[in-house]
Amino acid sequence: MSDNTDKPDIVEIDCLEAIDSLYAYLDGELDDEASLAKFKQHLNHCRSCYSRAELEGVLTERIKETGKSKTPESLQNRLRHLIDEF
Amino acid sequence: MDSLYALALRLTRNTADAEDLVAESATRAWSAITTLEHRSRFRPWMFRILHNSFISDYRKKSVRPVETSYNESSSNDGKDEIASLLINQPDEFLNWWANPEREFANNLLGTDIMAAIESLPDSFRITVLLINVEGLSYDETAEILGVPPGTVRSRMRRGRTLLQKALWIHAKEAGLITGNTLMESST
Repeated sequence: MSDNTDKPDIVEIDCLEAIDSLYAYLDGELDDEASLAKFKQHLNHCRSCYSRAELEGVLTERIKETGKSKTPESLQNRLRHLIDEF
Repeated sequence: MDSLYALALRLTRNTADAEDLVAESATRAWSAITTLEHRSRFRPWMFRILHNSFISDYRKKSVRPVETSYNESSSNDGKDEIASLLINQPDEFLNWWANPEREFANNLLGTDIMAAIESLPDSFRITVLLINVEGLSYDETAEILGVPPGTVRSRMRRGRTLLQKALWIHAKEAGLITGNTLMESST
């Protein structure tokens, strides 16, 4: 998948490791600085993973936006009645 | 409250059942409020009650067909797990997966994305929703679902693959992608 042509010692993780780090990053779970640095370094040298990171980032944002819903008034009224009963 | 309703709606897939699930969860929470040790933990505590109510009440009553079971994994070796998830996919999907274009996500409608999420098996659906929509951590999600954090991480890997495959199939059927070429959405 990688089209990296730079020196091998520059890229310390491979594409599958980078994708796994990408998932953790998008989920707010990549808090280890060394792993984050390796991940970013890989993206700087791998066009395919960079493109995947862009797509996954947009998709994650779209899921976040579309997953939200407003509580209907009927349910709000029902919950008020429940509270009154207690 | 919006978060609870949104989660209930995506779990039950209809507004009437979602309202019942939230109302039932609120009643249970009110009755058990003295068991909440830290007020700061109220949000994950409420999600746990809603999830348990869904499992114990709603899902038992559901007439939906039994879902395909997936082997659970709590492996920390994400690289191997991603490789094994991809190796079972058709070449056409893999070719698209390896050559992504961000416009793909921009061209999808919100309803397409929700339909894909709702097509996920329960355990993956709730994990994706708690983490991607509600912004909970793997540890909080693990506590809510009663599974190890490694299982949550594994479900996210698998959930993402299933979700993208569902969206890819939809995009192909809708003519948004032809082979490996992305088309502009007409909607």
